[in-house]
Amino acid sequence: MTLKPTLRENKRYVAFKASCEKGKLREEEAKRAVYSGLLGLLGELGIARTRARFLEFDEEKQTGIVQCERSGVEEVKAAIILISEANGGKARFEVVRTSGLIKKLKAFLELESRA
Amino acid sequence: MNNAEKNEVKEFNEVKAAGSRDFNKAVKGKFNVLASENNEVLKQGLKRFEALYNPTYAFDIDLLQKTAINEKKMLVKVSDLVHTRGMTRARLLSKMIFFMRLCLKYKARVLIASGAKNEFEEKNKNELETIGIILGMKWVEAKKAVGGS
Repeated sequence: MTLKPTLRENKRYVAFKASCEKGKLREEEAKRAVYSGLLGLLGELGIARTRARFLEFDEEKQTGIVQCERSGVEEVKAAIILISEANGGKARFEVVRTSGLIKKLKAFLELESRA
Repeated sequence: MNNAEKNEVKEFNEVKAAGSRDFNKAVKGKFNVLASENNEVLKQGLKRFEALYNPTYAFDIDLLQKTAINEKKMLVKVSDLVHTRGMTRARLLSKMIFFMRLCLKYKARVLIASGAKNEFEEKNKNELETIGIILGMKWVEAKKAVGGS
């Protein structure tokens, strides 16, 4: 039996771009940095409430996508913005775009990388 | 590099002052910010500087009211959060949220800046707006605080 429309979760996808002083990040390192940032700002309960989840990371383009609940978008974005280190060095995680459709977001990231 | 008003320069001159004798460190033609942990010093420098900054975010209602009357700004730096972790960050964040609430209540203008010292600390406009929203501003207020209008 499917959930009522009012009860189903409203997903949002947040795209970010990573840059690190130690060179390109691997997916595992980016994932660790993002989860560390989320835990640091939101805590375990906050991550549970926002249903924040690391989805994917492109090691070539150094861009990634985090999934979260619609109500927690600003908090998840802030957590990503406040990440200052990854892989033992200084890093910058820049929030590029937010979308309700992952397909649109991936298309946007593809366009950005070509530009 | 620090973000300032939209149509202004991207850097500002921060003057760390222990007393009024340090006020002459302001540079003409630059966007000068007076930084002090003492709110009395900030009150003294209100007319000479474009913006005021207290790194401890200790509130002083009198200062906020005077800032509003003189149409000056209170600076909030994102780098203060970036450089802290754990309980220190949690305490600072709660101070900043309370400080922001008072600024909005007493209609003191707020300027949100990255306070970046290197390229890894730079934040774009949307990111600064997001921090403003987290601190308790509405979207329109956050846009104004970053855009500088």
